[in-house]
Amino acid sequence: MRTIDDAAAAESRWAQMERDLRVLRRLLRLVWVYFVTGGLVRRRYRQKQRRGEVFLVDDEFGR
Amino acid sequence: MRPHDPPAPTYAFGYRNTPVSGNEINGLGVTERTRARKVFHNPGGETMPWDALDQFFALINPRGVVRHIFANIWQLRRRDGPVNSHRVEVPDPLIMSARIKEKAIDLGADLVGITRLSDDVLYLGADVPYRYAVCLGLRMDREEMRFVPQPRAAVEVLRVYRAVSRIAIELGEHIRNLGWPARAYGNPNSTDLLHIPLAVRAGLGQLGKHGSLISKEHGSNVRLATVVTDLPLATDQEADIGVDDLCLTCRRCVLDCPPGAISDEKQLVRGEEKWYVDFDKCVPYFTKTYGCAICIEVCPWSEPGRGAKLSDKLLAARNDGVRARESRSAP
Repeated sequence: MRTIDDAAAAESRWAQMERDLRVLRRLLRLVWVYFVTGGLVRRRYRQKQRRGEVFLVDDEFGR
Repeated sequence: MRPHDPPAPTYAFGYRNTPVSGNEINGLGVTERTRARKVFHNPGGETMPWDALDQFFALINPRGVVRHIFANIWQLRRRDGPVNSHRVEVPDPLIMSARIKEKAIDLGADLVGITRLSDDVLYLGADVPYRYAVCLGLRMDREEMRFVPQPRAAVEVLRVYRAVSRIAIELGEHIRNLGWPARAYGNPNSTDLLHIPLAVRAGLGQLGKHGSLISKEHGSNVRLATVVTDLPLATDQEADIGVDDLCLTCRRCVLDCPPGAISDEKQLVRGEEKWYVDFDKCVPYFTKTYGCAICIEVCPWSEPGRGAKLSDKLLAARNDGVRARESRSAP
């Protein structure tokens, strides 16, 4: 899971809200990726496991 | 303890085109002192050679693990923040260090140590403009960790990462309230710091054969977080609890590591002879078992209540050996 690199020192209350929204947006994206993309990946992985095949991670994730 | 039904090191996942060896990226065999490069657990946007396996790992983790990761991401948004404009002066860094350690313990930390921050404990390309690091350790529930390498133990690992991150965040906020800049770094996927070398320097323990920290109090059954700050502090000395004296002869982790990733001898890594775990052998098993952790739990130091006695015994045996050699060589 990608984590914290964009958290920043938020000086004002407005800046803190902006930061919180940015992290929240990122978090929601991660939740979506885990449940939706991850659900498909987990299913394909299980299918390959059952068939005795190898799930090739670079085919799935680009490199 | 024995690992709980460890699966065989065979994998239903892999690479079509195997990336450059993680050992090469980690600087195995490199004679010059260089900074560490990121290889796995990518916290930022940059692409890393082992990214595909890292993404796969993130997506196959059980929900119980991911729940703690999400909560940790959310709380770590407060890792940095505004600094109180009214600065508390620090006439005696020793007293301030004692207060910061007391605060960390109050917040729930089991281990605290302070060291200077320098480039060699930062990843290549990282810039952390602070002078000191307050290293924190929090022990894991041994009863839960008895289930390594099953998902139940992985959940405990991430629970403790989340808890120690919270301690670091709150300690950072406390320091900023004193008028000094501070930033908390929690794991996993900490962006800039090498937590283990920092913790070793801060006197929390020593590097073990399995590549993890061994503390006198809790062995390797701890997880780390760090607060970096400019608050003037007195630093701690590195601890010698006798880890090498045991690791040189003990083979517990070597024998219990299913993929055989742990070496019996120290190796040259980025200009330093040290214990090193074979990345290419460890990480596929680590991925398959959601974080494995067999080596740190089978380590004799991790047995509750054993570390202090073990350390005393090892150091006494070493001193006896020195005295015996001295008396033999005396005219």
